[in-house]
Amino acid sequence: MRISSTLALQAPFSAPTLLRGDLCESISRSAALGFAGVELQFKAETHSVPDADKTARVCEESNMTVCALATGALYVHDGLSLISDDNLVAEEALARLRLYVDFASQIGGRVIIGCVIGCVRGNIDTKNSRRQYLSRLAEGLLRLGEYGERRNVSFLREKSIDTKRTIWQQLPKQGSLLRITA
Amino acid sequence: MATASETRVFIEDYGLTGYSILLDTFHMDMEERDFIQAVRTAGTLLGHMHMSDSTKLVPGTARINFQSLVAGLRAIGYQGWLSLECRIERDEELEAANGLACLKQALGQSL
Repeated sequence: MRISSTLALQAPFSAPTLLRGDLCESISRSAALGFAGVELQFKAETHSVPDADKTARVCEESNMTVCALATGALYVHDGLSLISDDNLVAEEALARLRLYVDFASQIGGRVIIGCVIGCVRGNIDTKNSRRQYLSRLAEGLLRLGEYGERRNVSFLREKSIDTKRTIWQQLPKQGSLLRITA
Repeated sequence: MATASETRVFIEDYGLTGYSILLDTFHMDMEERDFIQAVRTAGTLLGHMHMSDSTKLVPGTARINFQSLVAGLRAIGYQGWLSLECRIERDEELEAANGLACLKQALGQSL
C-alpha cells in the first residue's frame, strides 16, 4: 500500500484537503514530505482543466503518481448532480465528468464519483422513488463508464453518507449530550 | 448507499464494470458497525481508501485504530492507495507530515 496526499488549487480550511495552492508546486511539496502520490481536487470546466503536460512533467521529475481525481467540486460549487430531476443538470454533470476522464487518460489516476451523484431532499422513501433514482444514477454511470473504457480510465465509487440515517444512528451514542428543551 | 455492502450490491446489480469502491474512514466511523467487516465486504472491489481520523483531521489525532484497519486491508490483499483526505487545523505541512507518519507506522514502514 502506498500513501498519497490530497491537493486542491483552492479550498477553504474546512475542506478535506492537505495542501492548497498551485497543483504542480503542491506535487513537489508532497514529494518532499515523503508521499508517493497525489490525489488532485479541482473543478473541471470546458476551458479550465489543469495543464496535463506540465502536471505529468512535475510528477516525473519528483517521482510521483497521480492516483485519483476528485470531482466533488462539480456538486459543491456548481450544483451538478447525476440524479438531478432536471435532465440538463444531469447531462452537464456527465459532460464535465468526461473532462476528468480526458485528463486522467493523459496523466493517470482514477476518477472519483462521490458527491457529484447529488442528493435528493424531501420524501423519496417509497421503494419506487428510490429505485427510480438508483436507475437514473446507474444509467449515468454506465454511460460514463463506456466513455472511460474507451480511454482506459476507471472509476472509484465513493460510498456516500445517508445524513438522516447517520444522525439517528449517532443519537444513542450521544445520548448523554442530548437534551430536548421545551 | 451509505455502506460498503450497499455500494457493492449497487455496482454488481447494475453491472458497473470499471467501477471500484472507495471507502472513507470518516464515513465508515459513522455508518459502519465494523471497519474490518466493511473492508471484507468490499473485498476485491475495494479500489481506494480515504484516510482521516474520526474528527476528519489527520490520522493519529482522534480514536480510529489505523493499525487494525491496515491489518484488515492486508488480510483481503488490498494493494491500493491510502489517500490522506483530511481537514487541516493550522499548519498544512506539519499536520500532513504527522498524518503520513501515523500511516507509515501503521504500515510498519520506516519514517
